[in-house]
Amino acid sequence: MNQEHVLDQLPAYALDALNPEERQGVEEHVRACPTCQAELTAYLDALAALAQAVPAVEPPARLRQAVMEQVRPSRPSWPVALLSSARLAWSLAAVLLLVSLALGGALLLQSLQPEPATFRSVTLLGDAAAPDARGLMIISPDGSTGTLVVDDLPPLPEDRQYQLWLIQPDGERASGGVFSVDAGGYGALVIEAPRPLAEYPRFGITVEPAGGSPGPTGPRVMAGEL
Amino acid sequence: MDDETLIRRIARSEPEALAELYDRYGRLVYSLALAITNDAGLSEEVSQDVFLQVWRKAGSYRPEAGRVLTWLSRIARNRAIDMLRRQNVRPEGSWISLDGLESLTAERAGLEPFVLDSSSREQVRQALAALPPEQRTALALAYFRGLSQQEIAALLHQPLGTIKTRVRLALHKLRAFLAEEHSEDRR
Repeated sequence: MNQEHVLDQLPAYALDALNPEERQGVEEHVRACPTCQAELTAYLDALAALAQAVPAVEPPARLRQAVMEQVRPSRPSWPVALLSSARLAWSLAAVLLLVSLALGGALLLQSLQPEPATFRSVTLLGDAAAPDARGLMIISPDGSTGTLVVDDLPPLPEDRQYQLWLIQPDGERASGGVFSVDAGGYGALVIEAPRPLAEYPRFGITVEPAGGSPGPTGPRVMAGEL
Repeated sequence: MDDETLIRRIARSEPEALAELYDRYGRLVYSLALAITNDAGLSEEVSQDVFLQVWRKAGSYRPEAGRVLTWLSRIARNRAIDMLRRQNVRPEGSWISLDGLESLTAERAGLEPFVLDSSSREQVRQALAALPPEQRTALALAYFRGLSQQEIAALLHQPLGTIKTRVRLALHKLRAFLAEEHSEDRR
């Protein structure tokens, strides 16, 4: 990237209307250029004013409740965030199916009983590379096995796959398996862990060469904590 | 409490702070999503996603990169555009007019503007009204439909260079107009 300012391109960049190559060039320059950063901020402020000028419509009252339910301190049950929209409800069905395949119908039935429901779940959130991605990991009651379901992860070229990393308290990373996602960004993985899953406090997902790597090499796209 | 303090409290996982932020900007986020998608259900979904994202990413908010409102409306706009693309929806009907954001200048009966006081809102309208129609259209297609300059050029059968100029001038003028009005306010 040359050192010239990218002032002419900043309006289109603020609007996210550049093509990918142009965007990358502007991004690189702006990151290192306080002048262009300040200019960009001014354009973004102008767009915020535009956002405020749209006709104001009162949202339904239930929306506030739905928003707040998403962030209530973690519940023992399924994360509300994944249940909150009909669009994602089928993800839950897929989770249940996979869990039942992985762990056996008896365990599933047991998990649906009110009292001994001891499956644990870990929500994985997308990083900057995949801000919309969501993931849910279900860990069996004894902590030994689990299943991962993700949605809205960008599909990868054929020579790349996503790889789940199980992160020990000392930072050591073990592979939990590799997976791909369909065109809609949906994918699932029955986790293969060298040790009981419950012993890993943190989890991450990176982009790796197809088949996986011995250790993470590509960019991290999602992360979560037990 | 100012917006930045609210965001810091949200970053510390205080649900009350998120509730307060929703009370301040929930209507803006919903209205913006509605202006983009023209679908009430999608707009609710977008709004939920936006506040969830704020809840998760509040720690990454940097005041020097823009006001809270700028940050929040950007998240909302991007999320609504994502949703639009995913649904492959072609918004029709009461959707923001491509012919120049005219609907922005038409007040809906009984609805108050939310954050902007009426004089600031009027400024934005004046600024938009002052733009040549072809620049307004380019700006609207980029902002409310999420089209790239290339896509706009193809849609309008215009050379890419022409569209680039229109987009640049439109946003530059909008910015300059608002800055000018603000400085006049201070006098």
